[in-house]
Amino acid sequence: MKLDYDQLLSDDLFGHDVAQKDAIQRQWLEELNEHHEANCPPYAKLANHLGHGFPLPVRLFKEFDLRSIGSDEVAKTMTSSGTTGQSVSRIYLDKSTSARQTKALANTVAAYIGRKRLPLLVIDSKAVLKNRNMFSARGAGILGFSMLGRDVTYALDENMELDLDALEVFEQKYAGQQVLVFGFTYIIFSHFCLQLKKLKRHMALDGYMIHGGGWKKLAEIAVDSNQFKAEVTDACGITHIHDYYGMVEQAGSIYMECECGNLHTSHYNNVRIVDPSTFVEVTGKPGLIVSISLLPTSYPGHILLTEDMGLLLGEDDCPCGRMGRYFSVLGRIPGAELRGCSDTYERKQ
Amino acid sequence: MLAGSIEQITACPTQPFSDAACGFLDDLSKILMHTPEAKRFADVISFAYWCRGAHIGRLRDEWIRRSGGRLQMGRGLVLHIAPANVPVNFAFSFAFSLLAGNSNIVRVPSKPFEQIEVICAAIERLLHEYPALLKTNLFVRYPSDSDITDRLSRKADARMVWGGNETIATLRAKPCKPRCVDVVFPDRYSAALIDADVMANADAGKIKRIAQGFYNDTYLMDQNACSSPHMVLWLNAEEGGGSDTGIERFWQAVRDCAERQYQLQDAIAVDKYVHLCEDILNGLDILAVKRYDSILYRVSLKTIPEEAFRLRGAGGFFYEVRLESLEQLKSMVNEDWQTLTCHGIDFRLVGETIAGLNLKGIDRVVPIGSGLDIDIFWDGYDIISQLSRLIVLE
Repeated sequence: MKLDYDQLLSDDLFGHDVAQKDAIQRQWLEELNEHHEANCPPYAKLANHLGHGFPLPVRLFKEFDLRSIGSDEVAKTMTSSGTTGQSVSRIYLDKSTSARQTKALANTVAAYIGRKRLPLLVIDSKAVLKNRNMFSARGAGILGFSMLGRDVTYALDENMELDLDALEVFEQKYAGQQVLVFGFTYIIFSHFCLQLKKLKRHMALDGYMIHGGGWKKLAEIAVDSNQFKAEVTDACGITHIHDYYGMVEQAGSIYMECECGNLHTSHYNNVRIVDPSTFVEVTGKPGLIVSISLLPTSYPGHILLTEDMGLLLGEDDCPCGRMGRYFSVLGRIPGAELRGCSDTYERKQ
Repeated sequence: MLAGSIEQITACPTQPFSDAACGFLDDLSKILMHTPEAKRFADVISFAYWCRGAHIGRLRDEWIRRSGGRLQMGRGLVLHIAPANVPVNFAFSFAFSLLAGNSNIVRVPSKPFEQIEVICAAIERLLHEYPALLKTNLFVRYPSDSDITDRLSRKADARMVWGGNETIATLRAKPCKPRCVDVVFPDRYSAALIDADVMANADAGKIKRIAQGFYNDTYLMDQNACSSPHMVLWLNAEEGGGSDTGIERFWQAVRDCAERQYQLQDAIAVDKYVHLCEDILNGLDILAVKRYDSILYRVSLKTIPEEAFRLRGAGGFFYEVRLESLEQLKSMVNEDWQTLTCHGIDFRLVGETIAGLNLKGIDRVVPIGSGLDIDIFWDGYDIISQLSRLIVLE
């Protein structure tokens, strides 16, 4: 049966070795290529010139409406959180793609923190969710993870200041119990860790933290993963801290950091690290991340060319025991410096 | 301030090609030619070569012949705004204006290009040997958001502005004297015109030389100079005919040059790929796409594009289309068109076409490889005449 998601979503997430995974994903990607070529005319046009299974630049979702469903089937539209003046990605979801993403996210997170729904502390403001029609990447992340926890508490008020009362209630209520803390890396660091530190307040939480959104801002102030983890533990006592890499263009299909500090591909996704000057896969040196997700059928987001640089660290042999590729993300591709007298050419963000 | 004296700056126009101006440029050429740091920069050396005595002398002789003894004088004080990303353009802008008989305030790019330091150091040294020029020429660097340009604008008798359309629009909006003349160099569009038959019959060495010339016109400036071609127009190219070999050999040779010489930035490689996707999704009438890794992209068009000037590449991204005749330029060329670099085509014929078709664009028709060779005739201007005034003695 084609595109059997019931099968996919009930399979072992990290149990297939390279040969098995390659075979399974080759078949899936072939079917997804066909599906999107048949249902998304702009995608078919691109494939006509660039070949089957070409990597689609993520930037295109900002400039074009790319969907493989009729406009009447769109259940929700996700947008990336662009800053003022920047264009935003528009990702069209139908009910089944959306449900699938939720399920895949739950399965992936369960593989790291277990199936039990834990009390959830979100290090963000509820105000981020205000506009329900247009989900921003931050809002989508929060909502996605909210479904994995219970008794969701927001740590920040609408001004992005610590809600100390809410924190106190949460801390006392779940003293001695496992909790889940979720948020965006930079917000956790600057609005949670540093603020608590300023108040000389140390929370005593036990459980897990999952954070994502990238290191760009923290790299600017020279904070690395180890320092981040130390600050988190100091601020709230949590020691199981997992970064994740993901994008709104492939929601649900995230790459989680394992206990050994590596980002892992799963049964639902994969990465190819390619040399930008040839688009050929490389090992042992940094390259562009091509991110593969088997989940999307409502829009052609199954093979995406990101603008992030990454390094493949290994396959099937991570000491954490999970099979599949594992890698690290090195940050965004450096901007181009162009010579020439014209100012019409500007690198789009 | 990089050279000259801000306390002393005064406007003192002279006749074009004064002995002081010609002597100064010749001396500048000599200093640069003998400066070890200058030799590291091909663009500094081409400037030094351009302003050597023999070349300036030829320009002067030609000027005298054309002006027929009429009296002309520089306009006075010229403000130069150089483009941000071309290190030596400011030096050419200054030299043109100096030769026209003007005093100059030159704003150099904010970016600390080493070429600027090398040239300005030589100018500063030399100005002290030319006291008259020391008082009338100034080289400055300041942030583009400061109000200094506003203040200088009010003093200027002419403004030479290089850069994109936005830079020019901003400058034009600044108040200036009623008689101030603006000589502006906005975004332009350039293409190459090649006879495919001639290319098919060229030997390997010849093709290599043409490809190197094409490389120099384009990749050397990331294909982002106003005179860098974005499109190749093929004449006498019969589809499926023998001329196809010429076309293929040409591109292969360009690729070879680029692979050996061009430092392709990762971000530009991604941009080229995205750019191709955008063209496809925007419905460009594409016949075929050929990618030589990321170093060279060829987008062959089925039909003559109506708004050709919008089809721009960067870092080695080219469009190409077959022309049945030069008359087809009519539907493509608008006032944005600047340079046509040619091979295998009679230049007079191109000139007759431009006139015969009443075209609003194409200011330069030059051999492939000479696209970037800037001179006192540029962008359709006779710059010396633009920057000087004509005195009637009757």
